Amino acid sequence: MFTREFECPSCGGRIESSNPGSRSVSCGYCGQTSHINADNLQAVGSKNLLIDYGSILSLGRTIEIKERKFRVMGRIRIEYDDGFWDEWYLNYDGDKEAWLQEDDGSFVLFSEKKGAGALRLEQDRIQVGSTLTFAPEFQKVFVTSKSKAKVIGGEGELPFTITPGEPADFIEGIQGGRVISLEVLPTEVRLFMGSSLEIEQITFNH
Amino acid sequence: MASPIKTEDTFSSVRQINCTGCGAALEVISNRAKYTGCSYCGSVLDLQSEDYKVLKKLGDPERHPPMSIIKMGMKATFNNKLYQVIARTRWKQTYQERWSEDGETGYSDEVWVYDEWLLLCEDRTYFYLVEDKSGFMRTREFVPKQVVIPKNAWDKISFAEKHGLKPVSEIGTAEVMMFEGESNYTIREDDIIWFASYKVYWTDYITEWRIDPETRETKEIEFFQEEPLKRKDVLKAFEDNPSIQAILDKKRNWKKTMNLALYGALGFFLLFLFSFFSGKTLVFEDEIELHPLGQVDPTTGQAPQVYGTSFTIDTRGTYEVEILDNSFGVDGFALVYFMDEDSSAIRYISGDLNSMSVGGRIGSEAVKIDPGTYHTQLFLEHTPGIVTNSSGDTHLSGGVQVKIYSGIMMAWPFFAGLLICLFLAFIFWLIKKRQ
Repeated sequence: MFTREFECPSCGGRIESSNPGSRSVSCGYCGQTSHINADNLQAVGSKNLLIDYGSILSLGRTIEIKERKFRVMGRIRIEYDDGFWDEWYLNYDGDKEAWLQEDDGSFVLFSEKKGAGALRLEQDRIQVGSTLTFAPEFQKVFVTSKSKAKVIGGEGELPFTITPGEPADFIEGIQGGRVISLEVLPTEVRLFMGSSLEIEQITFNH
Repeated sequence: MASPIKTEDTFSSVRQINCTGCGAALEVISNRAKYTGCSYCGSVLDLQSEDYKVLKKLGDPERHPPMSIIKMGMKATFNNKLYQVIARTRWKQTYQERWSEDGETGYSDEVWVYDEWLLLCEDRTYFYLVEDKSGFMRTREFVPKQVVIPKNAWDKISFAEKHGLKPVSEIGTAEVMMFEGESNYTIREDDIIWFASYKVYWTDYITEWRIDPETRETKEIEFFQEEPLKRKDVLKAFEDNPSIQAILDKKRNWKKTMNLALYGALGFFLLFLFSFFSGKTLVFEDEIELHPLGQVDPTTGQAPQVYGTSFTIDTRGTYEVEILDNSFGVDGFALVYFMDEDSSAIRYISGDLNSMSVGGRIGSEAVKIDPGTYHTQLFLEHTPGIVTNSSGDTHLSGGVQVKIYSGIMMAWPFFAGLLICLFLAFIFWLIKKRQ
């Protein structure tokens, strides 16, 4: 298995990365988030060790959903006006990526639809309750919520760069029983499609 | 497979604080909780602020007590998972409800008050239990396959193609009257909450949308399905709590008593039926005859009478005494006394003689008889004016046949027992229904 070792630029703690595609890591000792820059780490934002609220998921755990095995690689915690939620970064079938959103005991398994970076949505004009086309394959998406949020921090490793404290706006909608989520970060726009899960649909291998 | 769930961790109190509104001691169970509503004064406290500042004051919980059996802090088991009640929100909905009668439809203005109980699961998921005066429902969020949201009561609504477009069952607004317990979400009492629903069989499909009171923009739209839960299933889920155990014990006792009454009624009914069809043994038979048949003696005013053969009963019991017409085609009246050895009448049986049904039953009685010697006495009178039978015989014989049977007899106590037990069962059922 691929592994890289880094030294936390803030506390010197050992940080391991087992995904060649990871672009951010967070130190498990001091909570410092760093961007991976070649073979070096560059500390960004303030240190923030995520508080453990007793999730059933944790870093390194292998879970199974619909007969597919996933490994938990990292997570981001996002805060908005009404509370916060966690986005768990999962790997499966080698280098494939998925996201498991955990929001107060409800779960949605997302996969990213690449190419959404080209989306040019006038998000301020998007209204909850309206029907929009997010992409050619995402027509007639019913918008259910729009929230101004921010990244509180991360844990483990992530496939893109995050900076604790940076804004992250979200537009969520539904289309044909699927959940569509549009994440607008300062640097990019990412589009995700997912389906909601009952906790019974997630099994734990160890 | 190792379970990541640590039940004890989930339900242990993570914070014990004093309400900054009234000083009451409060416990917070979920470590995610951001707010807590005081069960004593109705203050909503910000758990993230250092001094737990009072954010707002909602309705006094004492004025909005729980509607029935569920209380804060109770544990429950649904689908083999352990839960704890951590919050209660008292809602008031003001809405229009669809009615349909004699081919006409319309909407009436209604108000509905209910409690929404929040139960935290050992796996940190949540269970929303809605309770009103009529019972319980479980509410779950879902992702609809299609979205057709109404703007008013007369619009159509649908969340799945297979449901088709439905008329709106209810549409209106909801407001929080009281909150106690803990919440991870901001309680925004100023938000205007609209809802609309339709029904498919027993399930209500509901959409709820929140409107910002200042901008009037819709902030969020959610979808829920609500299914009724039987009261007995809710009681079963909460059975480990002492107060619920007491209710269940009382219920079981009522059930036992009701069953006893029902089984009693069934027993009496079977005895009653058995008395119809059971075999009986003839223990005595006698023919008592008057010859010739006479009329009332004009000097004494007495009807002709004669004693029957005496007989002995050895075993105490209920016997059937049957009197049959043996008068060979005469209309008249017969009276048979059943007497003990002191000639004291124990019982009498009387009935008409009927020329058209010779050999027919005049009457029969179930008589409780002690061991002893007995005899019968017959009074017989033909109908005045009739002195001959159809054969022209003027020297008529008149008489009866007396038969005594042993065995279980059709007796009124059985029937009375059946009625009493059925009545008791009905009363218990009524009381149970009212509980």
